[in-house]
Amino acid sequence: MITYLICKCHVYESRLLPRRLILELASASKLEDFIEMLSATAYGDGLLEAKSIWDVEAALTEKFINRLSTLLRVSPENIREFLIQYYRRFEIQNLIRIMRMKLIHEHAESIKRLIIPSEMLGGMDLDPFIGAKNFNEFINLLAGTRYKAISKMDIENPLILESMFRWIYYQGVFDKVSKIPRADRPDVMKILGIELDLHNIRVCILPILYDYDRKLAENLLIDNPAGKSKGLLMELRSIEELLESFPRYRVFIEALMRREEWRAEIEYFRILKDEVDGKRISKYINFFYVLKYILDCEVEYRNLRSIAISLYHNLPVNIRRSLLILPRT
Amino acid sequence: MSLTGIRYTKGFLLDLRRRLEFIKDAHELLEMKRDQLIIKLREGLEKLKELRRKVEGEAEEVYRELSLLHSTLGSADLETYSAYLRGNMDVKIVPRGVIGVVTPMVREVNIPDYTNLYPPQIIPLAEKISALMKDLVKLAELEAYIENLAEDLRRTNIRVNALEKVVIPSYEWTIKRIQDILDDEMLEEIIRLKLIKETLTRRRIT
Repeated sequence: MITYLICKCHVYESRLLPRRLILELASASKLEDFIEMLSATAYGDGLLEAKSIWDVEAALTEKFINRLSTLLRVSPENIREFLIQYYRRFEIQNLIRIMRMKLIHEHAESIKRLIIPSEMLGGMDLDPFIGAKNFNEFINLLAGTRYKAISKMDIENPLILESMFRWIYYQGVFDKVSKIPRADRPDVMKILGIELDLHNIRVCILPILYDYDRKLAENLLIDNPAGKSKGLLMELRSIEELLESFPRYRVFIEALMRREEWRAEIEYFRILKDEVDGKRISKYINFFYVLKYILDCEVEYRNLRSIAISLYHNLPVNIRRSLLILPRT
Repeated sequence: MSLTGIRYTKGFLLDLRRRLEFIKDAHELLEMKRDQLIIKLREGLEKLKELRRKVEGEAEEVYRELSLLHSTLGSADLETYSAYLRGNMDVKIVPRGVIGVVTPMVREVNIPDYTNLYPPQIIPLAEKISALMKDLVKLAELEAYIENLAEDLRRTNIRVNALEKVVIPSYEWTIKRIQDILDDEMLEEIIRLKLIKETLTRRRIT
């Protein structure tokens, strides 16, 4: 029953770390203190065994993926189908990482530590891809998957291949939107539309800021059925035009203009978080809450990872706090 | 330093005087070279101070950008971005001479191009690292230049001091000694001649 899933999400939502604790964690003086404070929460003692920043990241990723996989277990069949496709964002993230490492002939063992356990989220088995002898074999292996379109392409620039992965992913997600209740679809579409708009803005800025070939940028754009069309985006030739077309994303565009990609990355999630937090849904039972919970899990995961890494780099407290994805309210 | 094979002759004295003249000219030239080296070294050190400050600032900025990107993107993504780098950094070096000192000069620095290759997230960091690498090469060039100048200055200084404190005084002392001996010999000769003249005169009278 979808109602059961949504109710579960409301319950799980209350188990996420409160804002106050996130800020306290960000104020920790060293990584060991952060681990100690965090292990007293739902993250448990597993973190205490972490010996390096990689171990901390792996423990946080494991918790994050566990949370997401729990939703699959309590979902009805149709919603499960949608969620599995929605979770494929982690699968394409893995495939892109494997592809990059295959380009530099990295061996399987070092690729494995970069992989998010996306099989737990209904994703395909990535071991054959990790074990591929080279980049060409990796591309050939895609022939037997939903990403077969990529294996047929003769493209040298890996940026286009990355974009193709994303394009296939979003196409699949928009297809599976039909699996969720009709009344809840517009809210889900809106979130997906924002994600794609922000991705496309980033691509549109490439020729303006970094002298990237306009043709290449056009190839990197992804069709957005729930946002600004590709045709319209291709006409935008300056920052002013981008700001005019996307006034809601001013902060994000300004961060890109200042070449602060790290800030743009944070703004990307802040915009999504503001969108889901600001939404007032009349019904308590709405699929939107499932997406909200998934986003909140990702935000918490990213916040904790960011705190751990910034502590590892000895960044000052004010900078550590500014890296957090917290709602603007 | 003691001179060997000294002959107490007028010819040898003239030769020594000629040699001393030459050594004094060489000393003067070396002193001029030393002054020039000091000027060049001072200029180089000023530039080095400035460039090092710039490079340190750039390195700090790169590290800051890297830690911020690392914090927001995570280790895995950051590590895989490096895969898109094509080609290696290439530096062409030629020798050049500055006041007789051979130092390496960087003629060309080729940083692999990242335009149309890198995902947007990594471009600003790539730009900053490229600028840092170029300045690091310049810094290495300047450090090598200063090191070579300093080494030559040290050698020139040793030579100037050796000429000033040992060679020239030793030549002057030898010249003086030969001159004294020649003077004594001349006096001896005059006295001998006088005595002979007196003896001859006395014989004629008797």
